[in-house]
Amino acid sequence: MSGARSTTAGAVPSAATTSTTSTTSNSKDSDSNESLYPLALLMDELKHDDIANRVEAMKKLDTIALALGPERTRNELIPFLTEVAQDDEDEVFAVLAEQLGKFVPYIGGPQYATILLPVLEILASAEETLVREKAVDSLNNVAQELSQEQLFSDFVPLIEHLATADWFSSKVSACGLFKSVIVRIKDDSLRKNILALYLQLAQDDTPMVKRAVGKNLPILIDLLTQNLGLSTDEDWDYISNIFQKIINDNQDSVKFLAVDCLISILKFFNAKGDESHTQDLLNSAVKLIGDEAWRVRYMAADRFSDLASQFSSNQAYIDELVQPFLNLCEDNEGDVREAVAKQVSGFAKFLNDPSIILNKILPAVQNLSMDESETVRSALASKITNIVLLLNKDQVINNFLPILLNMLRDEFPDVRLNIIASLKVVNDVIGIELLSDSLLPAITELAKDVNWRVRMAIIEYIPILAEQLGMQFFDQQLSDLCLSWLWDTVYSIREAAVNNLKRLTEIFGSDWCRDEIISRLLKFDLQLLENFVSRFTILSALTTLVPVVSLDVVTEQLLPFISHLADDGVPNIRFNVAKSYAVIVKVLIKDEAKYDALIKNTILPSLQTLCQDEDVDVKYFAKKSLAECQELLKN
Amino acid sequence: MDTDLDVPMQDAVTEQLTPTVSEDMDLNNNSSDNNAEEFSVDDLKPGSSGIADHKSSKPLELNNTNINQLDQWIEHLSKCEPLSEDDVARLCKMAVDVLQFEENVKPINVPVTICGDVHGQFHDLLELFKIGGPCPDTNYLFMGDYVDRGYYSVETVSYLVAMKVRYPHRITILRGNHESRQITQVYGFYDECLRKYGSANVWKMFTDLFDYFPITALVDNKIFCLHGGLSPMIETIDQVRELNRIQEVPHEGPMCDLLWSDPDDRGGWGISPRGAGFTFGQDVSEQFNHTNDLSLIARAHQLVMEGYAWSHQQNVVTIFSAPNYCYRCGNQAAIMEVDENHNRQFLQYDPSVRPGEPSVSRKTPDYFL
Amino acid sequence: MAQNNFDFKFSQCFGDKADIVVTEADLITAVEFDYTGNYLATGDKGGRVVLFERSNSRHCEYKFLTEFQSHDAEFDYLKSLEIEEKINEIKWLRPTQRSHFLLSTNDKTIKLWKVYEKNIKLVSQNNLTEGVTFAKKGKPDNHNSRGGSVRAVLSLQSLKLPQLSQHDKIIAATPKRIYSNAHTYHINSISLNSDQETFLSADDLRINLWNLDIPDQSFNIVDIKPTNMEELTEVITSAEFHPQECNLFMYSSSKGTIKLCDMRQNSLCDNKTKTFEEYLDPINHNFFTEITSSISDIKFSPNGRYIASRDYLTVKIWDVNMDNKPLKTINIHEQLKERLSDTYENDAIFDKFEVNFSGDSSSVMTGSYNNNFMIYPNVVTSGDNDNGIVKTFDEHNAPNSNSNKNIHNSIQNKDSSSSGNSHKRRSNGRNTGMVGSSNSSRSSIAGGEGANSEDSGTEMNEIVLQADKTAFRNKRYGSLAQRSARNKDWGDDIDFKKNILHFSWHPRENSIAVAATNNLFIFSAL
Repeated sequence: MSGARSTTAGAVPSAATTSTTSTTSNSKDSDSNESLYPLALLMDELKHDDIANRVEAMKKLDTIALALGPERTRNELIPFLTEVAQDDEDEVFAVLAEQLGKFVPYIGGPQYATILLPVLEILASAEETLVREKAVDSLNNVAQELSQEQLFSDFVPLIEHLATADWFSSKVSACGLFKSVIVRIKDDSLRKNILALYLQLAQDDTPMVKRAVGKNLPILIDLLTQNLGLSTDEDWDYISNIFQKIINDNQDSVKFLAVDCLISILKFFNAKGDESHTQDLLNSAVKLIGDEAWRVRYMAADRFSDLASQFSSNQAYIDELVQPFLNLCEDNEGDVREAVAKQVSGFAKFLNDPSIILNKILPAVQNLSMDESETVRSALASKITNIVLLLNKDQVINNFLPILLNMLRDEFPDVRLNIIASLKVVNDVIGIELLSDSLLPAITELAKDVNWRVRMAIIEYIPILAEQLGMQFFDQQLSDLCLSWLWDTVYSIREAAVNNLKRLTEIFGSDWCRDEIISRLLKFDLQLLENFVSRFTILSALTTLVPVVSLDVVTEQLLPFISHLADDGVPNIRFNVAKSYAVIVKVLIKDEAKYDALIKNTILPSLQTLCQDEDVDVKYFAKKSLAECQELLKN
Repeated sequence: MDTDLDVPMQDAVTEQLTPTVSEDMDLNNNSSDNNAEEFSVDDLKPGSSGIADHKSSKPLELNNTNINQLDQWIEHLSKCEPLSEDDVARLCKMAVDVLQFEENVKPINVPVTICGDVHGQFHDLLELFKIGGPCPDTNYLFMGDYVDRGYYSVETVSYLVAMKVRYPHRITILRGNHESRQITQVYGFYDECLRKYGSANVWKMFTDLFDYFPITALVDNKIFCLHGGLSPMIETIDQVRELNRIQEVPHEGPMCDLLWSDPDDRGGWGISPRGAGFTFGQDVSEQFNHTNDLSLIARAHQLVMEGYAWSHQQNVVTIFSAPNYCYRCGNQAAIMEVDENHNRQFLQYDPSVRPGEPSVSRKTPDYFL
Repeated sequence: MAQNNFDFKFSQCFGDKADIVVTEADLITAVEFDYTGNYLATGDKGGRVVLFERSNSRHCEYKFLTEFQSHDAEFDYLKSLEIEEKINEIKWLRPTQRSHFLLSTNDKTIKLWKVYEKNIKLVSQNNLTEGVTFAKKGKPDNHNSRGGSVRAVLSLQSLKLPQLSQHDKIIAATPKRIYSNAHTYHINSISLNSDQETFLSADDLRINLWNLDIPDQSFNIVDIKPTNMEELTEVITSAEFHPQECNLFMYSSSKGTIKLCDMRQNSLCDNKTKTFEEYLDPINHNFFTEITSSISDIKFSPNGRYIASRDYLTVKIWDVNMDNKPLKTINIHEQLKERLSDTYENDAIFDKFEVNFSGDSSSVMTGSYNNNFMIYPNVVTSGDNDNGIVKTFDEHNAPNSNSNKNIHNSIQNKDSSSSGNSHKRRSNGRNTGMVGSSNSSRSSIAGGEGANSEDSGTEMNEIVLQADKTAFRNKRYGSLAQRSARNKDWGDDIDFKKNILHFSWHPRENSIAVAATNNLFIFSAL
């Protein structure tokens, strides 16, 4: 803690101290005095009347505790904080709750950790959700450091106390604490009581408490799955009773949590290799999938592959899920169809009989691909291509390809973009030829879209496609398109087109760039060059390619054209040429011996002339580049 | 360049000098006069911000220190974060020493991109630069109305003034009818300065600076650019050069007309519904272009649904660069690119997505799932 | 507290009584009891919210608790419009252990207010204040006012945590959340969902759904705005969530219809609604029926079985399961039928009267002119079809799905749980002499003067009371029936300025709070 030297404390130690404290003032005191000043201030700020100061001070509680030492922290700071926890603003409570979670070392280690529980319990009952969440996290942190004995003597009673309080806020917090005890209780009867308490919470009439029960149940079950030997059948009576409460609750916001609970329960019994309940659980799953509330159906649709994976051990179960899956695909609520559209490939991989995929799943995919809601179609497009891995080549060509090609012509740009983004797997299975004759129109369609952000999106996919489709396909089909973007009316498209050429050069190499791109860039007819925007675009294209092509391409082809623009009529071109020179020199310097003369005889003189330019911006950028070049040449 | 037919300009929202409430679709709101309360005389007197007290006798010299400072401010403002009050004072002082030396009729070379009203819609200004290209690489001419109506007038006008000071030859900012003390008190810039700085100081600085803005520009002696329109008292561009522009926008007279007038289908001069300036017919604009050897009058000042609109058989063009004006009108915006051979190209664009605004969506939010 | 005693007597009056000109800002525009009835909130045109607390449980007495400025006038320079600070509605959240939460809204912004008892504590002692001034770290302070810097010498042991002394206890109100910028038109209703986590806000054309914890995102679930505004024929006038069913809400329209929406059917609730509309023979239509049929307020009964709707001339009671005609239509101010043209001249015809149920869902109350307000005891008979709420939206799903069955039964056997929101007392089913049919020209309720019996209010169908100075003087003069009759016959002088628009019925007893221009009257049958 650096006690900044207070400039007014006179250098001469004998400055008169008129304060009332008894200790004599000598230089040592003034040092301790100085170092303690910040701490004294910090402690006072804990009760500053401006809330912002109190929050800042609260963030440095660890500093105060460290300074006070464990004993005073236990006897003075914690009681003080317990007082604060009952009478201050939410912002202060939130920081306090967070800090206390890391306080065990400051109060003298785990054996004293239970001292922190009362104040955290108060914070766990606060009205503000954020404060409660932080208090619960801290309580769970502290619980890790408690011994078994402390856990049962203090922590479990704390949970019971919170769980049986009158107000919903305490009960909601209680639900979040069971996970710290459930697996640490080895005594079966004690664990039964804990689960009984959790069941009681599940029967609370406040929806928020039931939601907390529903949200935390999967966590508890997953913990039991990690400790398979621990839970008894009796425990599971309670758990299934709790589950029934959630799955039959009248509030949608509670009922839809049953889906995640169901998945965790299934994981437990699958881990135990116990199939006795699987049929009942399947019935529950089907019931949720067909629930009257669309939000419940949405949750089931959104986790359909997870759900199905738990039944994959027995094909009969999976077959029972097919019709519910198809129902979801025709659900009247768009959000449900959108969720299930993303799960098609994930679910289909559990169907060993390809005929189901061909006769049942693909027709559903066909409908989804023509859904009236564009968000459903684009959700389908984002994941559907993986289905080709489940079919042989002919099946893909005859049954899936028509759907795919249709989606490539969808009037909503996102659908086409999502398909193009996920073509690799299709390319691996059936090769690109079958695709290419419909891929190119889809790309050119996107390339001409009236919304410039759609054009921008397709440019970003070109390098991925180029890599997948190979140079030969690219040269025939896409290179004209990539050059045409350079003349787009929107600046950002031109800029993206320039970067696209650079990325393609990084893929296909300098020679390809020289022959396919630079040669055509330099051959553009003069009429085009009369337009400032075109000259500017070519200049920036050539400059961007400098670092990714070979040095002789730079010197033989790029430099001559760039330097010829140095005396362009428009200052904007001239000051960009000045900038390009710096880029070129930075590259040529790699082989300084060979190009030293070129730099000194052509580039620097041209820069020097630009430094005398009548336009102030050209002068500024020329001087800047010149300085950079001279710097590079020096070392 | 396909010739557009004369797209009629309906004024969904017009501002008047005497600010009565503009009509809009609100159902049970009857229009009520809320006249701007008059200034309390002394402390709001023009020039009281002091930014022009020590104005220099020669144009501002950019050296490395103030260039770095300006670049920093521009970087900061590009994230839509306002400058501190002290920085605004220093920026305005530098801007006075750039703008005071510009003529009433600012000469501009081609190529240039000409833009209309922005009205504090900062994120749409960023969209404009994405379409037209960044300053300084593209030359820009803005024809006024940077403030009022939108939520980010402070950031918008600070950003454009900072770029003007940093690249005086690459960007020109003319004065609009909203760059005035009285109008900004009613249509939002004054309230926004109060809200963001806690006092009217920044408002005083900018409204004092507005007095120095040039009121018209002449592109390659061929395109006459100004915010509003023509004035019965101005027949030649030289007459504009003789005006003393460094003052508050007067309620009438040539300077007022140049910032308030509108072209109209009816011939000759007419009374403007705005209560300031006039309406002028095709005969007037043709005569003006003829006497001054102009190919076009470019102006802004009026909302046009497609962002630009020709009138008077291509003697006058209106350019409006605030898309979905007032976040409600649903109009497109446009800018006009003029190349070295005087070919004109219009670029239309829609509003950018605006972060931070509370979103009312018809898509199910995740807190509901 | 017997709920069938309707002998309402004047209990208290708050607000400036002098008959001077009423300042605009003091006009009370919202009145609302909380879930327990122990607290009462009023909102006024000046944007203030005033809270009252029950001071005596035996007979009905309230005292001032606190007051705060909820909304201020704003200038929306986007549309150059003045946004009034007038409080349109107040709704209380379910009580929590120490503090009270309520939502208040003006035309554009909804605010969540936390009202709690705050201890004001003063720091009686801490490290740096024993008359010692210190140079602030790092800032040279050479011109210290008290001449020369003074230093106390601190040691680690001497450092203490601040001690506090209890100074005072105040009731503080702080805005916890502000839900703004989500309504292009004027907000007319807010309503909390039974899941206690979400609420809805309705303006003239749209209904938004909010999560209480998330103020910057709202979900627009109903939008009746036509693409072309010229074709606008109908606006939303009021909206409310069902008291028990988390997925049901209703909204009323200016064309006299009520639409019940089920959020379970679809995420967006524009179509597939259940419409409550009474067929009016076109020949009865005239220029005024267009205006008077506009519904100004709708409320679910606390037990969720009925809906009360108020339009200019009548209150209609609907059964949630029967959408083709109301159970009962009560004509409120018969005398106005001939004087509709006057009400059109002075705009009175556009007054938005509210309607309220009693806590036990048996009776309703509403307001009229000359400071008159009416109570209709036991007007809501549950009749014979006693099954649960039957949803008949989509034909193919089972009419009485079990989940609703138990909700009704749970009302039956649920003891008044801690949150006290549902009632075990069901209305006593006695069929009072109500002439239910809506198209009877004669006042459909046996006029007060007809009832000759001198007994307490239970026999009367319509109790008419007056919320003004006369209520102080002759509290004892004449029986309820005589006072009702006297209040009812206005003769020609109708004071349209003295309209009773806003009032609230105590959730657990027969006490009511009534706003009369700038005064708050409490009447009680205790």
